[in-house]
Amino acid sequence: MTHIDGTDRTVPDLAWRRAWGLVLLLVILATAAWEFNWRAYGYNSRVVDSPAFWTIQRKAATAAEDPVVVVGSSRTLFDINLDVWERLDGRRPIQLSLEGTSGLHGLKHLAEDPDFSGTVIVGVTPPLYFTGFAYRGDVFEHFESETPSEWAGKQLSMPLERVFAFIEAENLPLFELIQDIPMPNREGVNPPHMEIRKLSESDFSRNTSMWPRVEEDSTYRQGSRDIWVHTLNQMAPPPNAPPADPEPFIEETIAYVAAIRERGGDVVFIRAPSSGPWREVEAGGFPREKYWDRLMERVDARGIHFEDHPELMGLDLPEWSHLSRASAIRYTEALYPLIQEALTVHEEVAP
Amino acid sequence: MLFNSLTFVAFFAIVLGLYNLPISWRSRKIILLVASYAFYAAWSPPFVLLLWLSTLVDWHVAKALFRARDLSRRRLLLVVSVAVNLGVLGFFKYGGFLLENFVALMTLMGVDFQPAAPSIILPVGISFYTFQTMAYSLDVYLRRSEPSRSLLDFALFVTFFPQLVAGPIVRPTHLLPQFAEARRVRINQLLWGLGLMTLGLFQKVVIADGMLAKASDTVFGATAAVPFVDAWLGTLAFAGQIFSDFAGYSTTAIGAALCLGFSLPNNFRFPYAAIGFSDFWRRWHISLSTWLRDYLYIPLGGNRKGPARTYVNLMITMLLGGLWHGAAWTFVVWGGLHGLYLMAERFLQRRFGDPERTTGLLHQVFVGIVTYFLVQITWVFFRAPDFSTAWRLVISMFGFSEGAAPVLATVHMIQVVVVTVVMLVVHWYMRSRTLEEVVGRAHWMVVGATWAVMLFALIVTQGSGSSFIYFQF
Repeated sequence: MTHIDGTDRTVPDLAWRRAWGLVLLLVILATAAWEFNWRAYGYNSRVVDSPAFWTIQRKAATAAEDPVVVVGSSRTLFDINLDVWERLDGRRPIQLSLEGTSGLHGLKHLAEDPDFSGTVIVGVTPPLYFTGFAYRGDVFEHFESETPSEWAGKQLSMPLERVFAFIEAENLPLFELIQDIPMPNREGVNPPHMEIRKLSESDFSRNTSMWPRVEEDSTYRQGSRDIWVHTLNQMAPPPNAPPADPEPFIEETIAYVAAIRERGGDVVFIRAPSSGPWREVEAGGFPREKYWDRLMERVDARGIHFEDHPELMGLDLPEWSHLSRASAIRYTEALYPLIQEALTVHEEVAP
Repeated sequence: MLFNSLTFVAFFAIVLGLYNLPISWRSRKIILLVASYAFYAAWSPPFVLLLWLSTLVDWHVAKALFRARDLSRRRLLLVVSVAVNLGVLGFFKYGGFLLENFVALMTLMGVDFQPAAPSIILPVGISFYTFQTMAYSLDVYLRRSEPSRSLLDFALFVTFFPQLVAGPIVRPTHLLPQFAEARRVRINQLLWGLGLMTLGLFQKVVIADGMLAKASDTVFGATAAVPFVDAWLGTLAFAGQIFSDFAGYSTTAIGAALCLGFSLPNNFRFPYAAIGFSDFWRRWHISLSTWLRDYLYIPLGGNRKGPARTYVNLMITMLLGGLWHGAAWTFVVWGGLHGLYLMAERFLQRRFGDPERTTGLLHQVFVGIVTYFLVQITWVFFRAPDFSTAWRLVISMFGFSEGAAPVLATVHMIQVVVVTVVMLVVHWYMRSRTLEEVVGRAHWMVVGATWAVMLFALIVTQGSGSSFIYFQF
């Protein structure tokens, strides 16, 4: 044992340099094998879409001059292809949509920012929009309270995310994976991991598309559908429960749209396609005439419902809720002129 | 900033590089001081002002205390130090709690008092550095030590980043002398320090967050009664989680300090192998328990004023120790239970002798198991968000739950059982050993391979960057 100068703390006698050399060798080999494994499974080096990354995009929305900003849930996140939009418009939209989160929250965040002025595309997924659900509500809290350390952590992490595929914190931590080992649970206990492991991948502008494995691997796709069915069953309201009241959400929307228009901006609502059990649940629990149509009647903005436009229909939704990569490109190409028309028409009739 | 963050990795590499430049010792200390303020400001820059307040007040008070001969003046100066430190702590940590209880009292008296909801943010680590600076003034008042001659050294003592936000709570007599002369950092010391940091982060990220947090959160977050098995596994999970989280922080802090050439005191010595509660408190959060012993229990009279007064002193010390952890009555009950245990143990020791000194292994193991069992009951109150949750769990742990629904998935149950068994085996094996002894006797390949496994597990667990539990205290 070697004593630290003037203290009773000791350092064990050991061949420390050799031990350290062995550590480096083993860790480099094991990490390389881990990286290889996930790349072989289909992962690529992509951005970790953390609250800190959303905050970077959100700040860009305020700083930009007359930006186009997309808010909504995962459908506007997956379905609007930013590359296509930029090709058609010359401007690249800022993508602020959040999985499982009502677009109303994003709209509110922009409306309450006095320094924001721009065009907002709001995705309406009825079960989320008219309940105010926010699966990723933590991002708004993070935006308000981000510490210098958290900001620096993301800046340091992004160069690594560009290189390594395994740095997908939400998808690949060791003990999240262990939870996926199939084993029986006691009656009444849900399996611990009931979320779809990975549906999408994003680039460093949050341009997001469906993960190829969902489209190409029928077993994985079926697994995703099974989890949706489980989720939809859990979301089902109890029998005889009163339907969700759209009024409070419509009132809020009216106020936020007015605030954005006051600052020279504009708002367009879109209802993205869905199919299978998702569309059945939406049609049954949130019928169009009672929710979407009422919103459009009351709010001072235009809306685009996919059912009203043949060019927005007949697209491929591998797991019923989001468009495949090819369909997202087609959808964005068809949606862009409709949005431009909606904005122009609205400008002409607005007082 | 959090130890378990990429920001800290970059920060620490930069600090190590600058600190080892061939420059004067004073310049190296200035680098450490600036780094320590940056470390703290990485959470919230304005709260650095509180560090400066605490530093300047205790610096000047201790100087004046040392010069003063008049007892009443000395007492007044001590009151200034204690009032400033406890005032800051009281405002930020206990303001909301006091107001809440005042409102409850008014309601009981039939007065409808509805104040505006306070929005006070708790500065991270405030309980730790206020106790550390108070110890400095108290030591000078009690003539245990002289005030520091260097403001730079004292500021560094208050702010030293490895232990600033969650201890160990270092005594001035331990750390200040180390700032007096230039520290040498040998390669063995640096690598052992990095090894300790890996071990500490492994405890936090892999064991506490990765393997135990889910089970603990599920059981303590349940809104209805849970069965006997779930209640016990949830509590055992939390026992392992809080140990791994807090001991992990202390081990990382000790390792970081070692990389810079400094020694910090041990804060844990395998507490789940404690034989009795006095032994437990000699092994759990040692820097707090010795602080409370030296600056509260002994000044209250300790065990020098007869058995009855000893019991009262023990209870006061543990109740305040509980309140130190958090502004809630559940923490007070946690401290009160430990106070009761210590009182009962003292009573039994007077009758039957100290179980720790008995040579009978079976007797020791039996008392160890009873200690572990009773400590688990206290963790329920420590972790539960309110008394109704705590009672519900305690009732389930004694097998009286009715209509309980299971909540733990099989995979989480297996994780808790495996970690708990391994942890107990390690604690009992290490009970009378030190980590340095065990590592010193091992072959370098075994140490290297174990270290590599921990580091790789850290990399692939990644973690959510969650805070250490003790930051909130």
